[in-house]
Amino acid sequence: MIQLQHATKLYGTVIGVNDITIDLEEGAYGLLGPNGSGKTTLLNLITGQLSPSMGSVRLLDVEISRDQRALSQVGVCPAMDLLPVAVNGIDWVQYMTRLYGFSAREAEERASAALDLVGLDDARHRVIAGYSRGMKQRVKLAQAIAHEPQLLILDEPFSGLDPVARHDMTTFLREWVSRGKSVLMASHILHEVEAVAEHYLLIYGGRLLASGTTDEIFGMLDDVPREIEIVCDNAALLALLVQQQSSVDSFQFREDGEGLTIITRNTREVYQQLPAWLEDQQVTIREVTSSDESLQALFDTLMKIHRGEI
Amino acid sequence: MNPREWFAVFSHEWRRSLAAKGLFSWIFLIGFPVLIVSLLRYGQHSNELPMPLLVTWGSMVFVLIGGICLMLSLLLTAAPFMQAELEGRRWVYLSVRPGAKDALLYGKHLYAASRTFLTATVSLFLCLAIGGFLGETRYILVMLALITLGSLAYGAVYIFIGALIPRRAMVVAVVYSMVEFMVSWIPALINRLTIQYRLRSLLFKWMDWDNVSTTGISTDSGFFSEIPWWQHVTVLLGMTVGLLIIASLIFNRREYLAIRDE
Repeated sequence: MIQLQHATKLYGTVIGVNDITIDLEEGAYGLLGPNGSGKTTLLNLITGQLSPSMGSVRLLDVEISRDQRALSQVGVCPAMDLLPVAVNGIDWVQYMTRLYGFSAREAEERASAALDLVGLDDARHRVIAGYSRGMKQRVKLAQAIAHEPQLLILDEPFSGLDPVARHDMTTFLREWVSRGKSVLMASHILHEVEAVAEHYLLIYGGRLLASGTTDEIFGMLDDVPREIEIVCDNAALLALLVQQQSSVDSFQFREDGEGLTIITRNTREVYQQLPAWLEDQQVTIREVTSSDESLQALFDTLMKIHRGEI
Repeated sequence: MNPREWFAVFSHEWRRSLAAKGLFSWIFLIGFPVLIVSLLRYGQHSNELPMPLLVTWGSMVFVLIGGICLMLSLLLTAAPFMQAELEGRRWVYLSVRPGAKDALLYGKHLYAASRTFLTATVSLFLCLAIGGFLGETRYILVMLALITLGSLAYGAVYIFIGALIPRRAMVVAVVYSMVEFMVSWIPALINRLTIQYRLRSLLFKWMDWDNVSTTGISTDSGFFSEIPWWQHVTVLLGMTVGLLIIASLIFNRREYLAIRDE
């Protein structure tokens, strides 16, 4: 569906995307990376808005920078509140649909159906300027699906949405995928996309650091020391217990003295040991966190691997 | 290329132009030639002035409508065609639709030309009514032909500027308009490069005003050309098509981004 061969995008001397090679089959993908990591540049390359400075980008078996006809099978929902304001929802979605070559009548029918699907049927005749953030996100989604594409590309689809709107968006995307259609969504928050995506692409500094399922990506970190932070009432006793564990590589006391930071290559074994410490040794554990499971920490670790520091 | 997509842009732009902001510019563009001819006709001792000659009145109306009105109208509608999409937050959606770039370019050219034609035509009839020349069918038909040719040709020039320098299109278009208008009045070879010179030559040719005995203006003056009318028409239509094709090539090859990357 999407093939990138050593795709690189340079903005003068600044690298937007750096030598990315991927081959994505149909499915649901999450493109994850912190702000400024090159996600939008990568999406712009995939949708042909940018041409690669080096390498090639193929979308649906077509080199997209040379032939954009494949875009008729793609729906794109860009990031942020990029919307015209002085037009009502139905007129705008209809206009956007007509630009795929549909007649005015057919475009209106498709626009209506798309607005119904995203739950904007009541507000279709209201001016977009008066829409809430959630409604704007929905109308953006409607213009992307009205022509019934095979692939939906979304840039930060959950950005600015309240919990209800997030739930609705997740439900919609799950249904979209269950209909055999594909989705590629960019986000900087892991848990936003993990409810929908089956596969992930992790991008940082314009480079693809890792790709695969959740298990595959975290599996890459199996041999990498990871940190577990435990807040408890008796740090000294906990240190004594931790010291006896072969799975723990090292530990240090927290600065506030209320617990330990454990460094281990086997987090599972440490987690399995925790109930025994609670029950047998009467250590009251108030908080357990593994900072390595945050996206930023995951990227930091992958970057260290990439640089050969681990 | 899908004419449906062109028509989608064309009709969308027409609908937008009927909003209050668009109507205001319309009234201004129709009104200012009418205001000027009204002041000339009725400004002083209006009842005592003799009926003006068609050649002088017609030439003045040509400059106001066939020159200034056309250029101003197209300057406002065609030149910012891309700038408006970038700043109006629509480009990010248009650029991911396969035929939308050409649809935007040709659709907006058609819209700008048709809107300018309508504006100039209404203004022309009002000016002629004020001058008492509504019965001059030949002049009306000639002016309608010139307005059509001028709208298409100037529209293509401004669209070309808009595609080439989208973010400074208005500034460049204003400078071009001033240079074009002034150069067209220079009685030298350089004025042949201007659209205004071609339109003026066609006016004099089709109205038989190139006859020195009726107007007192000699072809030696350099204000208009003696070459056959079809050559002027060919040049105007040729440059329209040529500039639109070049603009399309630029437009389809360049990368325009509405927002900076993250």
